[in-house]
Amino acid sequence: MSDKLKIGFYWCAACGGCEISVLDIDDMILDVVEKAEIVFWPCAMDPKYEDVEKMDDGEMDIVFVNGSIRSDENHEMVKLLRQKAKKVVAYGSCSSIGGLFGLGNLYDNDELMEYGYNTPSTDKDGVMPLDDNMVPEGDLHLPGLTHHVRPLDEVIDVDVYLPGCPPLPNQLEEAFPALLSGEVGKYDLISQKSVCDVCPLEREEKKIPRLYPIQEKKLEAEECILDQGVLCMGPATSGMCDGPCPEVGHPCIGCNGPVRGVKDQGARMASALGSVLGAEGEERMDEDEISEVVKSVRDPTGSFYRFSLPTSYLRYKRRDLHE
Amino acid sequence: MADNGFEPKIIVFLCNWCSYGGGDLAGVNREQYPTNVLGIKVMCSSRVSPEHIMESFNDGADGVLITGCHPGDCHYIDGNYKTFRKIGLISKMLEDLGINPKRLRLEWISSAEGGKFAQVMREMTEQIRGLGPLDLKEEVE
Ligand code: SF4
Ligand code: SF4
Ligand code: SF4
Ligand code: FES
Repeated sequence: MSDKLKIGFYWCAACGGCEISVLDIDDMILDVVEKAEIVFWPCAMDPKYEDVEKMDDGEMDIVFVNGSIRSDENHEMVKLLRQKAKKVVAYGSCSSIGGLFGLGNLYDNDELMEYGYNTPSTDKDGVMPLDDNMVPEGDLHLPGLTHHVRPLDEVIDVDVYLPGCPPLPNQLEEAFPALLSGEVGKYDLISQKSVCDVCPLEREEKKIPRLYPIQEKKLEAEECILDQGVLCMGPATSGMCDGPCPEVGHPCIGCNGPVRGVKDQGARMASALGSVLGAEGEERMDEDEISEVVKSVRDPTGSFYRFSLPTSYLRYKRRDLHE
Repeated sequence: MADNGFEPKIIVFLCNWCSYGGGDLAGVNREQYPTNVLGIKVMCSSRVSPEHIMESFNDGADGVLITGCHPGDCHYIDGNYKTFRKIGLISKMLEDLGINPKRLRLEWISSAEGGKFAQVMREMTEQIRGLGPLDLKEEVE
């Protein structure tokens, strides 16, 4: 029994999808529990901080961490887990590349708090959560927000990256055996192929005169979505998912992050799109007319960096425009 | 205007066929321009990808200037149109992330425009000097 690997799962700022995805592997879970014993999993068990603190250093063989780093608690906990684990896997896009919550980095924390607690959409306008609350049982302390949303490797060393929002069963069928046998390099689970490379639709590399919001365009099933003028992140996104979204006629929204070796997914998409956008006869257009084509790309920042803003070159909103 | 003694670092990408020639001519004509600009020669302005621009800012550039052939003159037919669109997208992305898009500029400079070359280098340097330093590597808690 004791020759089983000891593994753990932990979530930071996460939606829960990554936790569920572990169960998506169906009966392969039996192979996993045959080789490994799950010793720590807050989503399914009820461990306390002290239980982790009491472990020996390196006691767990592999810890899978999902979610991004958004609070002081996330920060402290992953540092502790790093100490107790031989190997740390950044599981899912939040942890590997910053993830969806990374879009919070387009605002500073005051703006986020204001929007979250003091706009007409909130229940009690202007009632802000307090860091410290005195209750009869004692002083309750809420962990504070970090300055910006961070990927796991901005806080601790990561041994293997497994992006995906969440990682899909086909990825896990490859990843789990490789991880449990120990034969996997840091970036091995990130594909060098783009989603376009694995997509069943074929890009014709034709000029795209402008983009349309998806609700304004009736898409043909057999034609490349980008060629039809709807933003598809396929050219700038890593394809280990095998492209399930364009396969059923939905644009890729970029959830795997950039292909292996590329740092900045948004810049890569700007490059790809800048090259294919353009109308026939643009030689005769003035710069304003060409700018209109560029303006048809709605919210390039939010769309291109939907899952990877915290690992882009710029990472979070700066204050170069004010003060 | 800005910080005491602040000397901006500006990366200038020069298209081999036009703007680099413009720079050459500026030299031959003994035009004066500041030494804040660090030139990188590329075969065409469209060789400069948005990743190069973002990386330049990340690595400490206070400004980035892309130069290329005038519309219609690109030696690879439509490279400069691609550049124009990429710069449009990147400017918007910089602005959304709180960075002044005036730190990024695109200029068409032909190999006959030595005067314009020097003028653009002077203007860009003054503009960035006015905006002050950009420190993307700042340490935050
Ligand atoms: S990567 Fe996606 S599924 Fe996983 S926690 Fe983040 S948002 Fe949820
Ligand atoms: S539909 Fe999207 S992923 Fe498929 S080829 Fe076109 S751009 Fe690429
Ligand atoms: S096609 Fe794109 S959005 Fe869909 S799973 Fe793959 S990377 Fe994610
Ligand atoms: S060759 Fe000069 S811009 Fe293309």
